[in-house]
Amino acid sequence: MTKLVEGIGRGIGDVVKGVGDAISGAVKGVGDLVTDIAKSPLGKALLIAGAVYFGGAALAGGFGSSGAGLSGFLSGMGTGVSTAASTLSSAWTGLLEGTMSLGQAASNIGGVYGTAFDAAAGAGGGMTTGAGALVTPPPITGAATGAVEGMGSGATGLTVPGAAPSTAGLSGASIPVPAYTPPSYALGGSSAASGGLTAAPGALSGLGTGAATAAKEGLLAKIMSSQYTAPALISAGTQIGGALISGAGQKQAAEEEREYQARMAEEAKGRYNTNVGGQLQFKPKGFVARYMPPAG
Amino acid sequence: MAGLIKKQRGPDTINPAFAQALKFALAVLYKDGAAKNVAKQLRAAKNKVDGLADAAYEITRVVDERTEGAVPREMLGLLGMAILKEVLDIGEAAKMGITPADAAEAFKQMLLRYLGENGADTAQLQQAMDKIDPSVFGQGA
Repeated sequence: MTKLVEGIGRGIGDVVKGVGDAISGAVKGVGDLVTDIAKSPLGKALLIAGAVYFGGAALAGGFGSSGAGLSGFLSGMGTGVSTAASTLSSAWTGLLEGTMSLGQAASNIGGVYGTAFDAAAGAGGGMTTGAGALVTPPPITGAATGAVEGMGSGATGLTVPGAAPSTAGLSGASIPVPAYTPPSYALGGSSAASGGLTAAPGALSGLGTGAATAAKEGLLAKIMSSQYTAPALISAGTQIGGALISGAGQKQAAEEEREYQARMAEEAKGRYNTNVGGQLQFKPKGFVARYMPPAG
Repeated sequence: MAGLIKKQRGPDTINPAFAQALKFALAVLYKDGAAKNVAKQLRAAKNKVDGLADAAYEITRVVDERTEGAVPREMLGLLGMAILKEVLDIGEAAKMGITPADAAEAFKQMLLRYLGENGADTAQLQQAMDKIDPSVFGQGA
């Protein structure tokens, strides 16, 4: 055995201490398990990864119960841990059973990211390095991700001509948007337009410190004032607006084409009647009348 | 790892199959000496994170097979996390310098691998995961 392996062996020996207790005991609760996992920095990282990747409400609940931000959540481990574990399990179940799509899970990543950040900010300094340190650049990354991806799918959710069928990709809090009044024709996707501008959970909850206050001060204004989220929303709005305009243009062109064809048909019909009438009223005279066989 | 399951605090009860699987995993790792092999495997891995993820994933898979799939599917994630935690402890004991970001990345790899092996297209999910700054996972340390 080399010195390296011997060193590893000694290290493992340290780890093995207490294993007898561990495996002779009984696992009574998920909360206990998760609590014990969270005792080490790596375990905490695992829990955060699980929460970030799977569920946001759990982490937010943990923050809420501890009231002391991330460190409080992870060290206190009250009911939030059980909630985290159950949410983790339910999210996992959702993924496995297909009730949660991978796209939704991806969207949740942005959501939980922001939710965690909101909670941390609300906890008031619970994080040692400040709320902004949760991520660099904080939840804005998640927000931008959620906004872009969510809005992207929202743009395809429009049912106006030229856009894909609507999907539920953009459920969540509504963002008031300038109303688009379609022309005279019925636009089935007019409601989808507002749905299309309904932000993904990640987009709204991922706004970081500003999210909570933004809801009070005017979310859209807050979002639009952010250098991170505004481009995403503008881009999304452009996509949606483009889809609407494109659809409206196509519809109008079709209407004009139909009107033109109808007008042409009317004119042709008129010319036909005129010609027929002319024939009926035509009375040959002279040379033509003498050699032309009688009608009928 | 120590004290991982010895204390009883929560009012919730855990699935017996899950508890049995975890107990089995711990027994194999520490009673049967598999932990040393895991440490060697981690040392031999070209990529630290890949080694962690592979070891934990394989152990989870073997445990699931040995327990004849008794662990509910919805708890496999938690089982994988618990086993990865053990592997991380082994890696730490082996002085591998594992960071929280490594741990999170390993778990992410396990998740993506599981979903991928079950026929899911994980490209979109992975893309979203990759956008997350790994430093966030060290904030709780």
